[in-house]
Amino acid sequence: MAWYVLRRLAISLLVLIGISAVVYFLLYFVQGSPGRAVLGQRASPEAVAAFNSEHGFDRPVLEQYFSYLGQLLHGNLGYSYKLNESVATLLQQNAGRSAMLSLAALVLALAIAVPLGIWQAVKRNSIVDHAATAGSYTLYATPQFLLGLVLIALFSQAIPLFPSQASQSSSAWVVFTDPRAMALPVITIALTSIAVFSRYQRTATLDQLGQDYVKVARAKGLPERLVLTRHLLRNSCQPLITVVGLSVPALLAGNLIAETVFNYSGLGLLFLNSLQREDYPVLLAYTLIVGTLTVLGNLIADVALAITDPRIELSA
Amino acid sequence: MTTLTTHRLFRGVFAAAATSLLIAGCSGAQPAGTGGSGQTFGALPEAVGQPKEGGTITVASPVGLAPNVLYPNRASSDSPFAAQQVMFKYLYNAADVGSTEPVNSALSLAELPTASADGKTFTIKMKDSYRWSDGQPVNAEDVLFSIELLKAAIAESPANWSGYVAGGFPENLVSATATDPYTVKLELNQATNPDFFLNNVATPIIPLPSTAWNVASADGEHLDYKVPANAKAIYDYLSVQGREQSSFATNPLWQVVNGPFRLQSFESATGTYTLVPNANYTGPDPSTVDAVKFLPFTSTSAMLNQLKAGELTVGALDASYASQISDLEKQGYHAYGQPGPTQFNPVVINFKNTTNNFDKIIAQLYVRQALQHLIDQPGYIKSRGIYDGAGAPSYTIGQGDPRYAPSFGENAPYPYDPAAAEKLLSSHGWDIGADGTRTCVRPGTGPEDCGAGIPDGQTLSFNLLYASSPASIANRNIAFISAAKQVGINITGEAKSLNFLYENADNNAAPAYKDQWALVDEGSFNAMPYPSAIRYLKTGASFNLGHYSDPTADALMAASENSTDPKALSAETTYIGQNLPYLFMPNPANIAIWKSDISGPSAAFANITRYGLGVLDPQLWYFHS
Repeated sequence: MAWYVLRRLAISLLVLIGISAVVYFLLYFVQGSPGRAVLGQRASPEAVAAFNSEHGFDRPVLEQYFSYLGQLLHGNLGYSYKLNESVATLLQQNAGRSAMLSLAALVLALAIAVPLGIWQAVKRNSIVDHAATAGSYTLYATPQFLLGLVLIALFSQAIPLFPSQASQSSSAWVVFTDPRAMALPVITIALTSIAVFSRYQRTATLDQLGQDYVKVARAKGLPERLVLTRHLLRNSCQPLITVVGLSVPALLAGNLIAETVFNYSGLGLLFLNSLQREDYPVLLAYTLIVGTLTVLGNLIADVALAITDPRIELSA
Repeated sequence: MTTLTTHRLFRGVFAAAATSLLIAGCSGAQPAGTGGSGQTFGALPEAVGQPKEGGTITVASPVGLAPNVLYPNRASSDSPFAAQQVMFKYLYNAADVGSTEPVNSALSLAELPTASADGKTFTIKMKDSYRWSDGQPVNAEDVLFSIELLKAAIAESPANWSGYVAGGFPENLVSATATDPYTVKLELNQATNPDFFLNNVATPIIPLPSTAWNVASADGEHLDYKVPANAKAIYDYLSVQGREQSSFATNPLWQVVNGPFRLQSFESATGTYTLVPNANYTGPDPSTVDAVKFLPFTSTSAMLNQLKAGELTVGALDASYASQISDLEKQGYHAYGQPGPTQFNPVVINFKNTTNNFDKIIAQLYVRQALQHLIDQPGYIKSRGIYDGAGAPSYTIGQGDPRYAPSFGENAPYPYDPAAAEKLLSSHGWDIGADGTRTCVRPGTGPEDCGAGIPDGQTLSFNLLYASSPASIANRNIAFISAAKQVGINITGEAKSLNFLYENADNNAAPAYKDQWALVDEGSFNAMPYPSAIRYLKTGASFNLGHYSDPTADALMAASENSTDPKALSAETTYIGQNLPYLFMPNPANIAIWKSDISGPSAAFANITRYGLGVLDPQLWYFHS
């Protein structure tokens, strides 16, 4: 397994370099040199030319790219002229809060979706199964921003249980220890994930319920609780592991809706603002991070699958 | 996915979010109304109660614009503190919105400048009552220090000062001297209109502490800033320090202030910052509050939610939220809106577009007059889909500033009148063709002919590019296009992203695109405090997007800048309103929202409408008993 992981990491590095090249050149051909984007559309041509020359943006594009790649390999993600901070600092400031929001939503979603999916499968075609299915489809179809606004209207304005905005602290720990302020944004993200996860879990559980080992376990007289938790859960969670692994980057990027609605500065919002401001160093770094999370998420999912199912062999 | 498509995608998402909020809000809200003059929205209460010592005022920061620089003479790319001027005062405080005074004299650092007979030399007498918080006087040296640092900044790059204009201040300075400790004498290379000098040159000058900041390193010796190499070293040091966000509140440099507030704390991760009263402030009207806390918001919707929750003391909304105002008023907020005094909303005309002979057609004044007659400004202001009452008519640049009012005042030179538009076209040889489009049937240059270069059979058909968001811009143009269709003018509307328009609908930056656009609406522009159109409409000006060129306009704009006639700018704004280098759309209101438990002179809240949350002065706000 160790060789497999190393090989996958090496391939991932090549993939990430490829991603950086594609994004870099795409952004270059869309916009050209950043001087105009940084200084604004009303800056004088002289000012734009001076800025580009000062920061090396008037060099050939290949030279600029290799220079960028060299800095990247030294851990320098670039500098945001729009925000007057290094990109690494910006990511560091926002990553903790985004991670807190995403992880809390993910844990909540799994804690509800897995038992819900199993329960639906066990009680399949019953009224509760149909009701839960209808609820899942409704949540799946509801745009996240609408869900957030409805929750604010209900639980912040009509019935003032929770604040309308998330914790404003810059410290991830303070955010973590302020559950009341984080309740609505976490629930908003979790609800859409629950809809997806519970459907996968239900389908996978239905597949496993028909397997011989389940019949044997029941025939042996095991309590149903143990049949489901000790035997069925591990075998039925594999599709969900894959989905969770693939959704890790989406959880971070998808947070921009929740972050905007609940006034929470995180990575998603940083990305959106950078897009609107044409802050290319931040866009490049964010894309690389999402790419990294994607390949890592896939790798973790593959490894987890191998752990949960000994029949799966990861060969180098 | 390209940046433009991504922009549209995300703007679509947020347009949907805003729309859902508006729909939710509209169900119970009342339509907004206008003030008596038709220029204002809502009511402006007088100051009430006695100031109560203490309290923290929470203020919304501009959405998505967290401050990233503390050095006052910021670069073009920097985002300043909204209330920078209450820490580092401008030489002159701008006059209150709606005032006919040249400046707010009581809060300014100097008396009004006096001009020499030839209009080239200006003498500024500073008040001797102001001190920096380190005890040093605010004097002429601080003005000269600031100017030398500006010169050093611009010498490195024109982008290093946001106020830079090629050939303008300080490049046009012949000399800057202190004739005594409190008197500055500035000699310019040509005669300058006193109002232009006061508003566009002197007012933006920010005196800097010449005895505290004349250093090039943390423990470095104090340098003679008059030596250019020293000025460069000082500027380089200050500009770097001024961008170190982690030390904004702790660096001793930035604690030397002359305004009523100083920076107590700044969180770079969120952009939240707190100002507290400057205990060593020596000017008038010190603040009575404990602190003013500026809070960042990810969107205007998020700000609105906080206002509805009663968690925010002061905020600002744009016209698209006008339907929410009555709900906020019921919750104990005051609301007052009007456009910024130098705001204007032009439909820019491309005078060089040769497609379908547009350049020949639009060169005819009667055609521009006819088009302006088709813009229903009062209707757009009232329309729920456009400004919902939160707007004001605008018929020229600087319409909102009473000091430079055009001769036609608040009356439209070309009011909405489709019949008048039809008459103008018909009387100049344009008849309705078989397809319903106006067609020239009398080519020629006579008084009843179509005009020079317009051939027989020429149709009135061209395109109009407009910004795809906010919705008010799209909707007003759709209405305009519809009105034009009624009289046989065939305008093809094309919604584009703002970035696309900036990059392409500009004959200076994108000459290759010259024949692809006839008219463009990018939304609001803001002129300088002395709202001459010289940067926008003078022949060859860098922001003359459509290459308008008129010798009379050029002469009037030159007089606005260089003559001593106090009525020069009024003559210019009158001519622009009559000659129509642009078509003019109404201005949306900036709506100031504040809780009723704070009060102050009415102007202190009206001033929020000048630039929205971008520039704020909380000095005169107070909690009342």
